Amino acid sequence: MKTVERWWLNLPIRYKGLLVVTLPLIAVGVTLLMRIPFARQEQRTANVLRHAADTRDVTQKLLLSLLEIESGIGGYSLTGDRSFLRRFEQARDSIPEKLDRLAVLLNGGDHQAIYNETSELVYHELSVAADLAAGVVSRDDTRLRERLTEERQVMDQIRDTVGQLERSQDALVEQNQLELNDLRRWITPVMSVTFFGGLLATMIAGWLFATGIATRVTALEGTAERLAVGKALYLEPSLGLDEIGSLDRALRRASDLQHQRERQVEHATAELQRTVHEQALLNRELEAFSYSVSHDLRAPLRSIDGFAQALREDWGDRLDEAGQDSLSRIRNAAQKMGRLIDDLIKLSRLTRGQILRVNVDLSTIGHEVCAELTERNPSRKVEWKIHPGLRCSCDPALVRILLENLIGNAWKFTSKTPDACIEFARMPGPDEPPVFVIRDNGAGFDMKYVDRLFGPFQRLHGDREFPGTGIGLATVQRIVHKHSGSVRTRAEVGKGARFYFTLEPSDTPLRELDA
Amino acid sequence: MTDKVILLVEDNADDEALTLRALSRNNISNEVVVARDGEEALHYLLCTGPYAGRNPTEHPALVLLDLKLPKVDGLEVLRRLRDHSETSLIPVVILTSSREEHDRLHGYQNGANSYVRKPIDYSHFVETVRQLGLYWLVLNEPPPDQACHET
Repeated sequence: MKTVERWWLNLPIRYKGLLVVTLPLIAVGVTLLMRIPFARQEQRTANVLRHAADTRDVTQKLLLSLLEIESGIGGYSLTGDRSFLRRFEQARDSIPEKLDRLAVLLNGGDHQAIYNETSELVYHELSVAADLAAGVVSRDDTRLRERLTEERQVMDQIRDTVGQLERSQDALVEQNQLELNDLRRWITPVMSVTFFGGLLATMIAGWLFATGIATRVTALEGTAERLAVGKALYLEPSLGLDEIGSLDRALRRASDLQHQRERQVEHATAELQRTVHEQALLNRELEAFSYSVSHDLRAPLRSIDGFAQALREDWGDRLDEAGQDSLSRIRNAAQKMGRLIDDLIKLSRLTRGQILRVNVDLSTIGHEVCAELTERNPSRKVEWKIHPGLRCSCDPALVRILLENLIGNAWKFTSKTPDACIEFARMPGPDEPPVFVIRDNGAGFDMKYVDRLFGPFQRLHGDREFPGTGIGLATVQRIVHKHSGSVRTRAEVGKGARFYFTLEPSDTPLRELDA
Repeated sequence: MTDKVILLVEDNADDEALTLRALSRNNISNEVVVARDGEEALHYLLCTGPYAGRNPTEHPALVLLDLKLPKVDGLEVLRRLRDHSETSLIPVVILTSSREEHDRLHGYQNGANSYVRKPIDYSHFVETVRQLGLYWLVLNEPPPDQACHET
């Protein structure tokens, strides 16, 4: 039973269905096959019946004709009336045809011998009758009586023979009928059993098929639902190797995979939380550090500057020019270091906190930065080309610092350029996010130092040439990175510099247009 | 006005000397009492410890308070000062190197009257002290005497 069950579970559904559909066909087929010998027997019995009827018909007609002959010849012989003779002759002429028919009916069968005897007797009777008709024997002759008696005897014999034939035929018919009845007696129940058994088997198989599939599909539905809500699947034994079994195993594999992924995600989340925590600790440390830097490093600088100034005020008249110069250098150095510390603290502050994104009018900020620069040094003549309508989604406070640095740089590095020109524009083209550029025709720089450009405290120009702390472009880069944007630069010594930047994330790296 | 005391709370000797110098260069002739840590400042203000004999009704005209101090830090000094009814109205100017948002916020939350960052450039510092003296010792009307309101 277990083997059958396993075989049935492993049988593909299409074969199961085929089997269920084929079962009634088999039942009908077997039933029809069983009818073949029965029909054959029926046919045989019918043939025998017809044969017997035909034979009887011919023999009766033959006997009638012989009776005509007998009576005709008898009448003629006794009366001499020729009308009797005509009846005789008519009957005589029809005899051969009837005998032929009988010959055809009885040819080659069990009754050949009876036929032979009958036909012999009939011809004997005919010859006797012919003798009588020809008047070979006179009416008064005693031989006539003998002949008539003989004729009557022959007729009796013929009747006997025909009777025998009929009995034999009847026996054959009866036997066939018996055989048919025998066959009918067993074939009907067997056919019924086959047919209704087949039907029953079909119904049972169909029901088993349908309920079996339905039950397993329902189980699968449950499995799929558990899978959909991410619950663990029960570890039930697999449901055979057919289509449903395959689906079940596929679902199980999906579930395993899902749980594996969940574990991975949990692991990654834990890892991330740990990193975030570490980052927060690091940020706190960094904050403490920068606080300490801004507070503690500034105090000695104030002392240096303050006492140098005190020295100048109290003892200035005793110092010569070189001494005064030394004091100035001390104070300049202290003040420069103060600016460095301030810039560094500002830079480190940029990394804290989240950026705020709003739609910002960069052109307006550009104009404001330009106005501040011009106010600080009104004697400079610079051609400003700040394009109108430059807009971007970004943090307005950070972007102001970015533009102050980039435009401030352009302003600084064009300070020795006659016909200085500073341009702030959006790069032409459908680039999304927009690419902005700040161009100047100032001192520029050698592109081979470009890698150092955005590092803190990196300077490509001497302090005497162009003053600065080297924090500006590091700040620019940090602001751009905080916006998930990018920044590139192109420059040539003596021909100016161009800074391209985006402030929104982009799939493609920033193209260096108009290079 | 001129006889009132200025309390300078400053642990750094250089800064103390430079501040005193800046005051004198601006002709601010008030007596300057220097406290070198938060505890000493509180003793002075609340007339306890070594200052137990001080007249508690005489308050300094101005407290110049550094934030980073040994023992008790500047913000704590400010908090305790504001907790006592006798000292709660004394003008306090925080004079510090820090520009941290945290310090500014807590300074004002604890009742500082002003928050001034010490510039590195000494000339600027002298100018800053001049303006502070002008504002707090000349222009600004001090709160009424606390002694009459004591409960």
